[in-house]
Amino acid sequence: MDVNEIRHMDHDKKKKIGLLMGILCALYWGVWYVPGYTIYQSPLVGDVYGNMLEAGAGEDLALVFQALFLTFINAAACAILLFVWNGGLGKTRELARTFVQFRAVTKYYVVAGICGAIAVSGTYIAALFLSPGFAAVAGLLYPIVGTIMSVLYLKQKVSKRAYYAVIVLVAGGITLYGGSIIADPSIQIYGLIGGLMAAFGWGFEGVAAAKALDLTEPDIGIHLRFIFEALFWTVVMIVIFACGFPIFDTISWLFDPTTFLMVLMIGLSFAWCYVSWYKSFPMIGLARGQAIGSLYAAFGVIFLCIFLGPAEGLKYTDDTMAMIVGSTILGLIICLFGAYLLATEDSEEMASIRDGD
Amino acid sequence: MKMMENTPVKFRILELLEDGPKRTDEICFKLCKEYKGYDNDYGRGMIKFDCIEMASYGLISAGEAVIDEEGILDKGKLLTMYSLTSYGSDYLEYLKQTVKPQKV
Repeated sequence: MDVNEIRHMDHDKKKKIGLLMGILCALYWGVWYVPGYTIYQSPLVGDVYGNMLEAGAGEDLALVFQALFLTFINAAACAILLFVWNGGLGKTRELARTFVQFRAVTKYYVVAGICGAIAVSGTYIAALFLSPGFAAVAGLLYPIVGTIMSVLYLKQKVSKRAYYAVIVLVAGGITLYGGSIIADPSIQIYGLIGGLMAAFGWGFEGVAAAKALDLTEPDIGIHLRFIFEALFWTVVMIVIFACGFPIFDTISWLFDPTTFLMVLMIGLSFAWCYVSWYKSFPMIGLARGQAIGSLYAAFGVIFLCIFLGPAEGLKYTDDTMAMIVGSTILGLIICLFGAYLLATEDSEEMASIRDGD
Repeated sequence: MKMMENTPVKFRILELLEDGPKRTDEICFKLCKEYKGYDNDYGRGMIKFDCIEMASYGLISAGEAVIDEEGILDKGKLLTMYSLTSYGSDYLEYLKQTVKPQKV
């Protein structure tokens, strides 16, 4: 085998690792919806709503506080679990070395953490006020924001085929939930705001992270991002508490084994989803990484159907079954085609994601 | 003076390439001695992967390569000559202005 053949194989491997990371991200993200959904049944999150109402919050505000509390638990679980991950990889010293370089790189992770915090709470809010389907669709628009910014701000090159794949994957994701939105078209302003928060939050988070990932390890980057998100939510929780709302009253439920297991599952699936999302960016570029990551909508639907049953997962009744199931299957097929477009792209196209000289 | 000593590995790779192109094994063997816990196959593997990510991001570019027949780093794999790109040099200048020097 000569040098060029090995080099071509290396480029192929790099592309495969990048795509695999994107798919793993989508898988973990999809799986996360299951504990993310069921945790509302646990008193840790479930009782927050009642407590807020008792403390004098209106119904809408109580729902928002409940969503923010869950986002706080989610971020804190991820930040703690990633210490185990980076400890196992032998990267704790690199974490400390990177953390102190605030002006050079770490500041971007503060931005990424806050954008991520806005996005995740946005999906919860959209899911609460509209429907989980609408939340997912709104979130799916993030690769468009990410792709535009990756070209304008990060100066990454995006091939024509990658543009097509982004469009096809986004269209597939929207089709997936199209049926449930048509079946229940009521739109509430809070839900719309939540949806926009998700799309712009994740889009801009990817951009800030990709900027810092130029010079940091993805495992370290994602950990810093979660540390800052957890800190951000801790401050928000303390402010809510200081305003007289007993937001921490249910926290002792963390010691209940079932609740603890749920939090552990939420943390592991979300942390690994993000680890693989960040790892895909250097390999295949922001646009492709985000596009393939948007397959989470497809995996989310599949896992919700497996664990909660099709009727509960897709939320259809006898009247709307044909439309919702039909659009879901059509959406899945379109997503598969989008993933195929990316997977069959020539690996030399993405040997370097910027024009080097 | 090594300004980037004890800063994240990728910072140091940029600085190392400032005075000319270097091959993968040269980068890995030099840096694994500087960073505690990296002087083993796993540590050198991490540094090599950092180079691959940086080349993918266009901070450094991969030039001539030879096959590692003797198993200096990874038998049968490529030893690649890496050099700074103009994007990488701009980044290094930015780092020189922003990096906080660390006690070694």
